[in-house]
Amino acid sequence: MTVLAVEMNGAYKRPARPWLMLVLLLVTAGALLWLVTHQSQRAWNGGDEVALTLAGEHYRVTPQQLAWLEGFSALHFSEGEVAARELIAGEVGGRLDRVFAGVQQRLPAFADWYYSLGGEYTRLAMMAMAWVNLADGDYVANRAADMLFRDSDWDSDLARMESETAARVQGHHEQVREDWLSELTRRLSAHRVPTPLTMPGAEPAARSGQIRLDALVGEVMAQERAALETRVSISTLAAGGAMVGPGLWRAASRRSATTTGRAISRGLGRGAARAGSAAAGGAAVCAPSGPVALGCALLAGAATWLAADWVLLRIDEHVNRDEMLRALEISLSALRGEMERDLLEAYDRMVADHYQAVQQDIHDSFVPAKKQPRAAH
Amino acid sequence: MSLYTLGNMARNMLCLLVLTAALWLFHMYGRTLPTAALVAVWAALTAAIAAALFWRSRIRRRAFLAAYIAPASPLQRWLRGGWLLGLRQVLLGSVLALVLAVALVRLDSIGIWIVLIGLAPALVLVERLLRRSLAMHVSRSYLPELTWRLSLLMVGVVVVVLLVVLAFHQAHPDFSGVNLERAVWHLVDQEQARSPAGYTLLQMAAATEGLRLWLAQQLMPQPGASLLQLLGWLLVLAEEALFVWSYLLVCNAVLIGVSADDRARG
Repeated sequence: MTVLAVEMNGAYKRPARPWLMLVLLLVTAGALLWLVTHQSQRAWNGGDEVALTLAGEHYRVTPQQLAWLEGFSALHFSEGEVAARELIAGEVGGRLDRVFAGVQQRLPAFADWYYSLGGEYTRLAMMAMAWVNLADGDYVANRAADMLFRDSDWDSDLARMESETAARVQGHHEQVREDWLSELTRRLSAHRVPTPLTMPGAEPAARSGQIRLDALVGEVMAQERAALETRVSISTLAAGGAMVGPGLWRAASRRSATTTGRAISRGLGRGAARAGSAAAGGAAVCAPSGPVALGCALLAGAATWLAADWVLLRIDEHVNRDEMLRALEISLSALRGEMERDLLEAYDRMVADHYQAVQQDIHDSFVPAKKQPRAAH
Repeated sequence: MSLYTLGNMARNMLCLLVLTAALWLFHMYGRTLPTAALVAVWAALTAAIAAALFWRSRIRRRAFLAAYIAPASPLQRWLRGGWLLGLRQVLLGSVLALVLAVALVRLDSIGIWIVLIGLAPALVLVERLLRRSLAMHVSRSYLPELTWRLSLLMVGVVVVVLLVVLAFHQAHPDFSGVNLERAVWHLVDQEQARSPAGYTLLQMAAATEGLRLWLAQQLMPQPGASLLQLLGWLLVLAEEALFVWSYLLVCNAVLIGVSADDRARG
């Protein structure tokens, strides 16, 4: 009670120094007013969350989640690239098989022509013309190109192969993108936020970054369109039959040089035999006829010539036809392998370019994931 | 008015201004404080509010006991107010301190701070005037409680009215054409804080404000057009009253602390 009384009395008896208090009061009030009106609140901009927009929806994720999304995206498209190569390999192989099956089916027809009298005489005629520089000497090669790689069939087959392969690849690219988008949307759904209001003076708080995945999707689609356009250059690799065919015949000729040599020598031999047999035939048939002996001899000789030629051709065909067909098939197979290799290389480059560009887009788009400013301003 | 009284009043006003400055500093740096610092501030505010509430509750108990309980009764000891009463005030104080701390960090109007600065001399003056006016009519033991109760009520009503006026003139986001989710998110998205716990509390407060503003703009598109709408806005801004109450209780605690006279009476 004594203490209370002392405090009570002390409160009223203690010198309060009112003027000093008043001065302090005014100074404090003035300083506080100045501070309140001239200082603004210290913000904390260490918000880890990154704003994402995708298909009109808004999301917020942490940098760790964003880094995961970037890794997932890169991995998804890498797997898509591998799958695209496998798809193209199967597609090109299968379609080349079908294209070359048509060529192979025409090989017997070429052999039939080659071992026909018409073919024989045409070759001889063209050889004679080449002798006097009236033809280029590649008649058989050109004829092989015409018969085996009929421009309309070959070019249309290739064009169909190109367009269908391109469509499959394009479809694959789109599927890879759709799967990626679907998975991305599914994983982001837990982080969806309402669409921010756009009103003056009410901007959202500063964030670590803003990523527009719609732009990334647009970039990926642009890459797909660019990849689709590159298929035109691929078609030039498989040039028309006019260029491929002669090469095939020459390759087959080289491969069966011995056989061909024999055939040629037989061809020359056939000429000597034909002349001998024609003369003998004419003399034997027309000797007793007298005045018409010359005409008869000519007819008989010609008939004998043709008959001898036909017999010789049959013999030649019997001996060499299979060998020539085998040489052509081997050359055809080599040509197919070469074309497949070239096409795969071209598609490989196209796929690599496409997915490399996509990976670069992903890398560029997820840049805020690598920046994590965390400081109070 | 004696020179000593004037000096005491100036001292009390100064103490309240220092309190206002401290709370302004908390407002300034609240978003950048770690959780431990926020907890410390919350604990200090809780202690201050609970102390003021406990001190005044004890006065009311004493008045009650003096009026209704015989001096020799053991009820005098049981009902005078002990740890149970203190615990109740601590619980209430902790809630009010939380409301006050969050509201202080979220204050974004200079006008409100000017009102709070002006509140310091006003509260001291009103308290002094009421004390002098009531001294002749109210029992000496109950005088401090009644004085504080009326002072806080009068100043509180004026401050709330001022805050409502300021709120009327403050630019609010236009939520009339958006759904509740977007409106709430818009305000929640503005919040940032270093402390995760503080961040969550700020977001909750922002969500509450978003809900209030959205409801106000959906149900009352033109504030102030009629008495009912004005009443609606007053209800919408009831949170301001809670903030003012908790703020005044802290001021109360400071004044009780620096006033030997009041402490002696408590």
